[in-house]
Amino acid sequence: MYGSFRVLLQVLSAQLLCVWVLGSELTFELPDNAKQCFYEDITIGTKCTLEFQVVTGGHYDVDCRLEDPEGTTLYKEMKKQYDSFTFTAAKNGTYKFCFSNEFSTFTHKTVYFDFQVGDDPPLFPNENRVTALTQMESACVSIHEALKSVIDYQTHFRLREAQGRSRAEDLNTRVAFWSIGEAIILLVVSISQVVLLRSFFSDRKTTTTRVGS
Amino acid sequence: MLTLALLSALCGLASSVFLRVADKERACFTENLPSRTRLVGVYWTRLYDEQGYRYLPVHPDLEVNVLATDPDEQVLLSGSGGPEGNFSFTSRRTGNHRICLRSNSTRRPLVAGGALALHLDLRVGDRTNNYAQIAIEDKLTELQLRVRRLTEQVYHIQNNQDYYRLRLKEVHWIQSSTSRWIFWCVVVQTLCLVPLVAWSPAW
Repeated sequence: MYGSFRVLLQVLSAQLLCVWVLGSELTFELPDNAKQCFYEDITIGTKCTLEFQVVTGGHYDVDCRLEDPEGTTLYKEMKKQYDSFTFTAAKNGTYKFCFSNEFSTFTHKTVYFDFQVGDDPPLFPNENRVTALTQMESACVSIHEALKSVIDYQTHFRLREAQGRSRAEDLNTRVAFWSIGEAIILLVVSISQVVLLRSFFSDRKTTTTRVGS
Repeated sequence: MLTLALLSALCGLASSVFLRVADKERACFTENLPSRTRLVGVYWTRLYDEQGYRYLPVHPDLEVNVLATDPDEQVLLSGSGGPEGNFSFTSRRTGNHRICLRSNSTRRPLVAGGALALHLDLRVGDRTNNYAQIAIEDKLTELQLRVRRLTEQVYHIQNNQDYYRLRLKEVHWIQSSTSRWIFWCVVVQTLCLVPLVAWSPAW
């Protein structure tokens, strides 16, 4: 009972350390000729990472732009498939990042982004004081960090797989239409070629017969 | 204890990525989920005054409609909440799940020049767990809670691995279908051309 209460107190106190999990990953659809902007309130000195990847659509590229609260461009790339940008916030305020598909006339794109602000919260306040942890607790922390990176790699793998599957499906559809189309064209051309050639020889036979008689 | 609870409640309003939406405009997001995966979404809204360049609280009458559909377009979750709320569901099938949010301020229309700042945080798998609650409910010590967290992470990783196995089978099927199309196209072309070449002198 006392142990559980102590844990609750520690977890609640950890939640109060608000230099904390501000981070989101979202996947959204970006129609052609459209631009979508997202915002985040960040305090000065916080290390942030913006990662994005185009999952489906066209040439799998998108324009991305990141601005600080005063409108200064911190990051700007055109027609990028994926990228990662890390920066430390130099000002307090609302940062804005936008994804644009305005260069595309008819392809919708699906874009994934992961905007991490600050570090993940520790489970307990003790985790930051390494000397206070027992060996078991240290081992748990190390395993937790390793598993977090495994999950992160799995996310990236999932996005790559989605992209690869999208390309494979496109290819399959195009090959199917091309095969059917080419087979029909070949058949029509062959038959019409034979018919045309026969018609040439039939005309000549009639002419020859008339001249003879 | 009371002070801690109050401070904790205030910190629940931690920031998150937000987007500006017009009233009744739908904001949709996709989540590619393996089956049996829990998704928790937390949203809250503020009013953005475009003329004053500031954020104001919204009226409690504002409704936010949430709609979640599975890869087969079946509705998993459909409901309305206030300007702040949360929702959750567990995926039944592997694939792209769609989550849409739409604000509705019919009872109290937004002022002209105002847009809504919609904050949204979607968490999947082990990140949905509230370890404080788990510690209390299951009466766990510190070490037990850490091990529990590791177990949840491993379960999430296993789920993802099963998902990849399924997806790889699909990609394999698509690639073999592409090969079959190419093969049969070549066969049909050969069957057309060989008789043509062989019998055209006779014709």
